[in-house]
Amino acid sequence: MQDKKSQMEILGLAIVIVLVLIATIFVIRFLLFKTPTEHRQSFISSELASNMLNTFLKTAAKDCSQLTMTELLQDCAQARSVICANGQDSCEYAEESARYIFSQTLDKWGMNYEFLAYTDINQPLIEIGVSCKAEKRSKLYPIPISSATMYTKLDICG
Amino acid sequence: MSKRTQIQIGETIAVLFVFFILIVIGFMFYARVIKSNIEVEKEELSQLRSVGIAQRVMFMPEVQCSENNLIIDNCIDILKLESAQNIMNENNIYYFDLLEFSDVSIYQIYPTEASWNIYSKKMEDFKNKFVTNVPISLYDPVTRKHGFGVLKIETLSK
Amino acid sequence: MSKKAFEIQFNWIFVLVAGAIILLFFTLIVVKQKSVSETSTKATILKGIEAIIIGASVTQDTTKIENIPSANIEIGCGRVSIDGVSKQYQNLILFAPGLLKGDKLAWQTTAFSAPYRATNLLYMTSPNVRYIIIGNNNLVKEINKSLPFDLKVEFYQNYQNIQIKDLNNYKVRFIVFGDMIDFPQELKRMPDFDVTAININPNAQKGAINFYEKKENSWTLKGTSSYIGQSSIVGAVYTDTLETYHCNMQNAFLRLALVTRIQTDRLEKLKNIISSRNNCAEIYSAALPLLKSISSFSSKLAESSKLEISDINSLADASKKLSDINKEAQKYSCTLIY
Repeated sequence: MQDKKSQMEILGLAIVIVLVLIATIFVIRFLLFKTPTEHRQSFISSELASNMLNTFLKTAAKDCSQLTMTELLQDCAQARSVICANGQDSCEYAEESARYIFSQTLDKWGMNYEFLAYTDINQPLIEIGVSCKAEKRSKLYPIPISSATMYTKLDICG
Repeated sequence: MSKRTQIQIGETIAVLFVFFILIVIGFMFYARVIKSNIEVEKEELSQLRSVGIAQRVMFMPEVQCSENNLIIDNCIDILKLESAQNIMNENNIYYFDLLEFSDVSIYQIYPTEASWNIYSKKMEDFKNKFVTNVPISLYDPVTRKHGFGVLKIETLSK
Repeated sequence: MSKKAFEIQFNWIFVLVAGAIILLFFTLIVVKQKSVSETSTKATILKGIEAIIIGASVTQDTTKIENIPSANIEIGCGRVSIDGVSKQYQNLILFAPGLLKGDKLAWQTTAFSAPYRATNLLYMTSPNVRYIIIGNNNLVKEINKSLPFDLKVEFYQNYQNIQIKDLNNYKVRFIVFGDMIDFPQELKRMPDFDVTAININPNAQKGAINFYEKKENSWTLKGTSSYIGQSSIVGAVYTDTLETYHCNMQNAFLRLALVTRIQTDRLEKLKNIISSRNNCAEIYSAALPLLKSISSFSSKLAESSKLEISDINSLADASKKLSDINKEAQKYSCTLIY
């Protein structure tokens, strides 16, 4: 009887210790392995696509009658009447400028992206980069043209 | 009998001794967990500080574009840049309150290349360095055209 | 005494002593942990206020009410502190009462322009502060409209026949446009520094502000300062001491002086580059002395121990003239001065 009582007591103690150990494991899991919230990364990526596209569209072309990229893209989607000083038409010039700017920025920063300018998404007028497979931050910017609306879209992957 | 009593006291003292050792070990462990949490919080704080400085620079009236006192977002006036460079470097202590230990540079990528370093305050033995690149429109009030630039902010922290 | 009895007694004494030591040990730990936790909470609140201060520099015309852990926040010239935990700033522009109590924080930002934006002014208060605005003109109505909805603001166009009762607020601030009112006797039991007033002669652009504080059962004049533009009047509404108002305005003028130097250099470059367009060159030539005047007066105001009304008047005049010239520049399709 005494033996059984002692054994029950020890078993009780053992259960208590096991419960305490389980609680400690949970505490360790949540306290010790806390990773810092990536405030900076989410700020940068949420603003980047938007800033990049807005800034690009406002930029004036170097050798093309000082037209802005927006104006060149509008001409690209419509008459294609603009011929720049280097002999390129509006679509070619806008694409070359975009490639250069993105190479000096997003490529240098190691970011994957896709830039599209289109009236019909299945037949884009300008396509630069590769489409993002997983996570992405996207900015879509409509540009009014006479017959309809054209769109410029920048997806930054990751 | 007295021997038994002595043994019992000895047992109790031993139990107490072990108990306190366990408490001390528990607290050492707890202190380590708290220390690691503090490191995580410090990292988050550094990131937030970096974001704050980037935002402050983007909205500084010293360099920001305006049209009849209406602020143009995401735009820097090129004509202001050179004098901002001189004035901010002359008043380094004043701007330290706003920009802390950081390096703020503006790079024009298109149509021509140029750069301005408007603020620089280095820290000798920094532990963390965050680089934030923000695409920014560079406005030339003479030609009234926009170029494409990048605002690079390097923040340092211990 | 038998051995057994002695044994039992000794055992109990031993248990009591050992138990007391263990309890004391854990009590010390708990007390220490409580103190650390309180310090951590204060630091968190300070971090939140710092985030608001950073945010204020990038947003304007923003009003927000934030929930914070209940705390007593002391705000002074370039300093924010909570029970001994403080943060210092060199050029802080934060108009607020000396003590903020409660679990809510109301803050607002506006641009300080003279005539171009120089900086943002940040205002902060607690919804537990009572504001009593008295006046009957467009300016006072504008000020009343601009204050956050959640604040305890009472607006009286006519002070006669009004009885101000003590509603148990920890601070009461009177904003009087026109003739100064008599001290409301219902508030005589409140501590002197918790009942304050400003008296403004209404002119939307510029003028003088008298700062009053309760002394027993009457007003005592603490000093006179000046304002330029509606944003600085609102600053005087929020701060309850002349010193804090003056300190913040000095910082605002210092920033104006720096921004004006940059504007002046910019305009000089512009004038040199586009000298062929005669109208524009003339306009820029007329604007340059005004910019220099703004720079000189704002530097003077930033350094002086008192905001002299004559300097404020000169600054306001130069600012108005520059604004008119900027409109001229717009009319002639010249690049704008600002």
